[in-house]
Amino acid sequence: MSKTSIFFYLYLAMDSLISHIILYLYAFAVIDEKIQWKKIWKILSIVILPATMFYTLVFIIVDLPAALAYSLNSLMVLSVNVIVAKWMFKWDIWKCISILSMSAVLQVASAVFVSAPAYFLNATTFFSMMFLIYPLEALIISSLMKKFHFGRYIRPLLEDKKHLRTTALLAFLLECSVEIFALSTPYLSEDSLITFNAALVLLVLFIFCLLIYLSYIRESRRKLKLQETLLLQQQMYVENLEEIQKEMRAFRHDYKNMLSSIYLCAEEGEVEAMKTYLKNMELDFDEKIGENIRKTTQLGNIHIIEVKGLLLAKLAEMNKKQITCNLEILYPITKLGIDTLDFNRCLGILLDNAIEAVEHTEHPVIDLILSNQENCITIVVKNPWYGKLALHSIWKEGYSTKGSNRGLGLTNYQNILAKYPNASPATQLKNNEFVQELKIIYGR
Amino acid sequence: MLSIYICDDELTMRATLSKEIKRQILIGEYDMNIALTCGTPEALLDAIRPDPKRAIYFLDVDLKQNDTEKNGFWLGKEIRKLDPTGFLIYVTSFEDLAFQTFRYHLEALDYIVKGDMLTMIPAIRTCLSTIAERLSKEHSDSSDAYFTVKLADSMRHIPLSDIVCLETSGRTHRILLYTEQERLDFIGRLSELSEKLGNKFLRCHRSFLVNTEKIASVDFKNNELTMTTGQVCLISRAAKAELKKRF
Repeated sequence: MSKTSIFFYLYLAMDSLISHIILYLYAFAVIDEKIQWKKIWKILSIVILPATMFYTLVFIIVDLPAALAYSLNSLMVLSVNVIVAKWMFKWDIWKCISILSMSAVLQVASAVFVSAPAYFLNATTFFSMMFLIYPLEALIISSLMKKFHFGRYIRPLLEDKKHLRTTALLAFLLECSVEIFALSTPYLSEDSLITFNAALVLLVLFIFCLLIYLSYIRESRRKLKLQETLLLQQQMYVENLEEIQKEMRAFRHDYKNMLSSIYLCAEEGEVEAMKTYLKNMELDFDEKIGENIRKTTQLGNIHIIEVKGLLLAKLAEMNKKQITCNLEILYPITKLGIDTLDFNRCLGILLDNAIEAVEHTEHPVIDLILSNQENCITIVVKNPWYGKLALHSIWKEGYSTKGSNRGLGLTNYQNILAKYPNASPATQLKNNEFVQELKIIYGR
Repeated sequence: MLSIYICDDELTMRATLSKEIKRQILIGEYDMNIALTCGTPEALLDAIRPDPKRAIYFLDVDLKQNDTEKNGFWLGKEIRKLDPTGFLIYVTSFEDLAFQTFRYHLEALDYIVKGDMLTMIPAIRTCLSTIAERLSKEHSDSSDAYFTVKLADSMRHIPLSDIVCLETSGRTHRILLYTEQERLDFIGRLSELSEKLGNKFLRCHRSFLVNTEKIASVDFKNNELTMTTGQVCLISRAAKAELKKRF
């Protein structure tokens, strides 16, 4: 085919279009989600033209060596797609690279698998192979993947935010290894065709086995960590109960003494003294044991382990800093309405800010309400604040009442919430009380 | 005349409360009377349902009902449906206390910890005097115009005169509302709000709607407005002429 013929450009554009559709078909198979056709069409309308133009540019106008041109083009197409997909699907950039690299492995392999034999055929068969068999092959493979929920097996890999960069790099390198096959198709002889395709299939299988294995390791590691926090929590819970028991024992001792005093008073007929004794006894009980019992009951209402873990850690921190925390969780909390990790980050930021505001003050107190009412979770964090504060400036990046190089908390808080239309934050400074409130509606 | 309702499952507590409240009404010469003392939430609701009026309620938190759902919190919510502006006071033992939550969701006025009369009497006295004070204050406050905001599951009524400015937020369709003491984040559109809030408010920029009564200074040179809170808002070219007319 002549490089200057109009059909060649038409072929390039068609090939690019089909390959892109297939790339996103695989992408949604990899993450095991419903295909968002509308968004895919939008992406295509943005990406196709520059992708084809670039190809034409490096191939024909600049006339680079074929291998270099192909590599440059692939790299450019991948990066454009990553950027557009990040913007379109609101994925994390590293997640984008991982997903698209993984789906590119499948897309390139499918293309090479069909095009390698097609090279040895005449033009019409070649086109029918590329425009019929190749999409059909991709459609079958991707629907099989969806049917068996293949995405589930590698999801932990994509959800592990800590190691997402490594995952992205690995996926990219694996994609490159498949591209080598694409690069070597022109040098094939008819005899080596079967070996070539077999090697290709084996490579793809190996890649996905590797990914599934890594994902499995990550998942078990996560589970282990979760169990560790669970254990820690139980340990703290037991310690709490032991504390109550210890106080109970001490109280019983006092109580006996007090009872005998009251008994004496009764014998003497001193009603006023009896009243005072009874009052003291009651105060004593509330102060020593009531408070502890209350806190334990309230904590028991959080049914989401990760949140309970965070609260226990923060309560321990406050205890250490001698901050009184009035914790109120009246009804069980079973749903959050947003990602657990994001919920914890928000709660953590609000509590850290409150702790920072009250520590080293004369009466450090923090009120924390977690409430679940009619499909709405409410967090209220309250702390006394006697200084001045401009409500519009605390949200600015780098603003802090405690000197420079801080004050990222609330900016992060805003950025996290930006993702969630169902979250409504509010802030108040009234009667020397600083109140942060967050309401999250969850599904009905 | 403000009616007082008492609901507690313990007979002695009911009697004590009612006796003490009567005494305090006499001492303070309040325009209140006890309409009902009862032991179950249903009895209370049945009594107010035919003709709901603003009233005072002394409620036990733990009502020891067969149906554990129907505790004092539930009763408070039911009362709020009938009487949104009434005064709720919770009488509770220390362990059941979750007053912040009660205040937050039910706008409960206060709480009284069950215990000896020495602490309960002053608590009852404070509650009644606070209510009387609030009532007289409400009377003197002329009815101000309010702006109603929906915040997730709840409605907030903010006096128009309290609003400093509104600003579009970085989040799509989100508006930030600033008063001198608050910042709220809700779903809305500035163009619609601008119509709703009336001519006291000026759309000085694509992303700002300001209360003209809260403007501290205008800087035409840098196209900026400073509000009384120190917040800086931008001015568009179109709004400049309007502002020059006003200032």
